[in-house]
Amino acid sequence: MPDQISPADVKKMAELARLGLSSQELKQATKDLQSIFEHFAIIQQIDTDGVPTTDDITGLKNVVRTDQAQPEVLSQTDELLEAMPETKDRQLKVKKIFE
Amino acid sequence: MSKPQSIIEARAALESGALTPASLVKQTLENIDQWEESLNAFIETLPEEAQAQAAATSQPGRLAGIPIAIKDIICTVEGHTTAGSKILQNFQALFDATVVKRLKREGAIIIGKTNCDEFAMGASNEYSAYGPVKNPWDLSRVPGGSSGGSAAAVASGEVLAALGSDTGGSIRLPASFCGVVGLKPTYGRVSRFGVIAYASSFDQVGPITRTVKDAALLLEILAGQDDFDATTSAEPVDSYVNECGRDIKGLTIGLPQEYFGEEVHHEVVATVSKAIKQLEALGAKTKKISLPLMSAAVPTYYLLVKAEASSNLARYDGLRFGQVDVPSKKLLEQYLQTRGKYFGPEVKRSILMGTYVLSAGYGEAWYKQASRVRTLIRREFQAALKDVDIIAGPVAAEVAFPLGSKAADPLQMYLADLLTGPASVAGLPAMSVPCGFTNGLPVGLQLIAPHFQEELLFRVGHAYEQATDWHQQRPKLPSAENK
Repeated sequence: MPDQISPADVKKMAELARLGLSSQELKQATKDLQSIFEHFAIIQQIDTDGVPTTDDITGLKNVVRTDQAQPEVLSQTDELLEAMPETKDRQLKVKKIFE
Repeated sequence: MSKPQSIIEARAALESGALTPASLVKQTLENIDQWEESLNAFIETLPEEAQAQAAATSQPGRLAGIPIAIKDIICTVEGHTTAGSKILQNFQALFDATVVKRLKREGAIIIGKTNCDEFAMGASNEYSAYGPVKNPWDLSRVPGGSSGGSAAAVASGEVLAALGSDTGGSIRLPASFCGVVGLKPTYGRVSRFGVIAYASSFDQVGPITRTVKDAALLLEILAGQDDFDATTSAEPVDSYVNECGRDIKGLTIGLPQEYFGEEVHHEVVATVSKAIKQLEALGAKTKKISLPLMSAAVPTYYLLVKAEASSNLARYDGLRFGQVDVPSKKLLEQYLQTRGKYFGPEVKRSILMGTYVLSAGYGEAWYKQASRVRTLIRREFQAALKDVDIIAGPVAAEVAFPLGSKAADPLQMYLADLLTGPASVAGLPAMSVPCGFTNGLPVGLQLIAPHFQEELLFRVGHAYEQATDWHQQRPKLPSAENK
């Protein structure tokens, strides 16, 4: 069974998931996750040798369709642009990524 | 004025002229006005849009003129779609979810968006960013979650029907706690397009109604393949309404001993056992079965859904889907601040758990192992359903619990899915049917059928309902001082 979760683990997960956490939240989350995973460790006891993972639950086969452009099926481009907080030259404007 | 108690009664009243779509919308808005202060079942009502839809209603649709409430995790062009979260407080969908489109095609009127746990994560509705919903049978108790607003709205009579979504019990649990019918269809039976994703390999939309036949009618309309959701099945959609009324003589009902074990409250066991006796009296045979992996179902379920959720929720950055304000100037800071400020505690916990079980070094032990156990649980159900036609047991181990009693203990909240999680892990259709009360609080009978055999749920559920009057019981409107 994996080692117990530490505050450093939780901090790393928060960074990976782009989630800002206060120190109080970090402490509480560590405690919660420890107790949850302790309970969930029961699944480590189950013998799954040779058992495949479930990637589809009802036996669905590959679903394909003709590769054909369907412009503006659901909403108009102008409506989508209007819904954006800020645009420039009909593109979404976001904050700088590089300094 | 005629006060219909089901969609089917309302359709008859509309056809005979005893009601008009406008008068039914008016009646519904009055019901909502009377109850809403006590319940908080709606995040947003849409009176003007509904009145306009009513005025434009033309007859032939199977739901023509019927007001229906929509869980706020499902996109509608009317109003907002918040998923019960502050991060989506300004989001207005530009198109209807396929399920909403299908309801509208039959003439249904969208009356409002119902409250739910944030991103459908919760079993009590207390994790909504818009305040908890109260149980109409006892305002000090939870309605169950995550589709708590939908269930409370139907139970109180605010509306005749609502849509919910069920990932691990989110339709069945509130239906059980509120004493209404709630159906989770087979995975892939109903389109998820336009439904804000919690866990994409589990989520299903389904009806919450007063009667089994109303649920059958709604599923007939909602079910079927959708070009916009590749996981919808091509399996033909049966005439579910016609199954309501067929007798159940000779059907074999499996009773898993684990559903009647010591974790389940003895009064719930007694109430559900009485319902089983009723099914026997109607001609069904029963057989004791065992599903030993049930004890692993909740961990398996949560490990998988939180992994899927952490990926699904990566898209909420405060820019797309309605902007929210944070002070930062830099993009990375904006992400951290937005997600830190506008996600609630259970959503944050979910993202952390999911990121953990998918991360390098832990993925094999947690996520992959859970996915293999999922295969075993599915096989266990498959084997059991070779010997029996349908499985029956309680929906929940207890009746509606008091507000605040589990909200601070996530593990206890997760364990509320003890009896609903297994069918979700296996992708099976399952329904909650009102089967009595203990101490004035409703108890639900859970029926579980093989994949794509919802007709069995309707056949058995309807036969039971016709032999009992639980579905006709209504909570009393709270007096002014008890609101």
